[in-house]
Amino acid sequence: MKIALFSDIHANLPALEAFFADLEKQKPDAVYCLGDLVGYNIWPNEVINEIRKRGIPTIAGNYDFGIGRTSDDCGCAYKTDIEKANGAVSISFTNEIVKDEERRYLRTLPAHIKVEFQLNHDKLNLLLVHGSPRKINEYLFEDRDEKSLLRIMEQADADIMCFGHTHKPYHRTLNSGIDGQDHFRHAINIGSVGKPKDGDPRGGYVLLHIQDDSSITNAASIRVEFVRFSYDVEKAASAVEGCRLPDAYAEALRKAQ
Amino acid sequence: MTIALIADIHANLPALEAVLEDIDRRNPDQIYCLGDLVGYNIWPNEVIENIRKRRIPTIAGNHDLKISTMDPASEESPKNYAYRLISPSEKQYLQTLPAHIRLEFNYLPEPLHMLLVHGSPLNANEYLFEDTDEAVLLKHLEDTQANILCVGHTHKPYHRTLYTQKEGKDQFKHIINTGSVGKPKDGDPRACYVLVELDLSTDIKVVESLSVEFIRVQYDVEKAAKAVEGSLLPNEWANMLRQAY
Repeated sequence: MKIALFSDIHANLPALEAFFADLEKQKPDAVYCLGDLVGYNIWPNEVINEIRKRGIPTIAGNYDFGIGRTSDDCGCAYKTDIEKANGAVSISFTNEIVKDEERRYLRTLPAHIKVEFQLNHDKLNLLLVHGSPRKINEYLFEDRDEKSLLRIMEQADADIMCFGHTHKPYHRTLNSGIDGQDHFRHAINIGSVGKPKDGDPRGGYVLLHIQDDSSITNAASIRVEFVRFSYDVEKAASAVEGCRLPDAYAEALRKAQ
Repeated sequence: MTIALIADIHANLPALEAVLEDIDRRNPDQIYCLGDLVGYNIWPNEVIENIRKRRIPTIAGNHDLKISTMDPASEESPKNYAYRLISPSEKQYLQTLPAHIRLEFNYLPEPLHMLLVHGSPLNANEYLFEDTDEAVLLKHLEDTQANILCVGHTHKPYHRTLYTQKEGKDQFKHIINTGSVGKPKDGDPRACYVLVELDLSTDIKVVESLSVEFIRVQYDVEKAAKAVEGSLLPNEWANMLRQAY
């Protein structure tokens, strides 16, 4: 079974369309969206409708949560005053253009989806969250302390935990076994379709391969494939420059910052 | 948020096609399949291909699980012809289906968990009927911390609400049986599926705040019944489709 996982589209329609075209080639058996459909670009309604139209199981991201409630807070951790000022423009712009029906959709998205496998009579739980199981806007970066990451996964009873939010993809395998009995857990950041921040401006998503022998005792039995696809970055960047959103978001798309 | 749930297709391609057409018209926000794609008719591969092509998240039904444990000697019987038809790549798919899918709605007035299983949370082969003892149902709901338990397997649709109390507060739990797309057993031969609607007013304390709609869809029953009769499968199964028992 091949499962595609994508997130953090952030109203970038050209990136989303290129992603769907890439999926046609990859032919996964199931697709899940891990949230943040809106913010930072001009196509929030179109992105929501493309995802809805396909009936894709989707969970809420922090930006969706904010816009769903017409809030002026997206729960983003902006560091500088300039970032804060830019962020305020983005959320007010998004609140202004998102339509009622689309807002209603964002408001009722689930927070988490758990897919519980029982292969070979063994439990294997795949947990999908936006930030972390504890908080929609918690950033789980690649350098997160191993103990802390394990505790989060153990508390949530997750053997494979997939999340987005940081826009920087990675896969970490951790062993939480005791008494010499291996129990591998996988923490997978699936990257971002519409606003990558890892220096590669192409859109990114993940293909998760589950086989009939996939198990917590064999780390290699769960395969994670990071896919990058090209899209018309210039179209998305020019769209930012052509509206009242700060130009900094156009540059961020070109440089993947 | 409108969620469409389909289950128990049982290799009945004309029924599945009619249901998917109906779903496309109604445009739900998410679609899930509660298993039993195969058995009882001649189109297991086509049904699986359709579900995979549409990337509908699907859990394993008892018939889907059966193919990996089947004894080669028993495969010879006419009944098992339905499983012999399944191609290796589709078998692979069935063997990696999850057992449950849980949707956690944490942002409603009260957090609400919706659990999708085939038979019961403990067993894909356990039947949860409309008249199953309330204590049994409540135990399943409590053990799994689910507010809404969606099941298939019996091929008889129902929505039952159960009253309970948690820390002195009223609470309602829901059991939804999706009925069967390809082999209804409730006397109505039309295909059946369910639409569940949640919105910000959905509240575990208010019983009517969850909308559950059963949809019946006409399909070419005769085509599905004749396919059974034209195959090695027992002829009685054709009549079961015509009369929905």
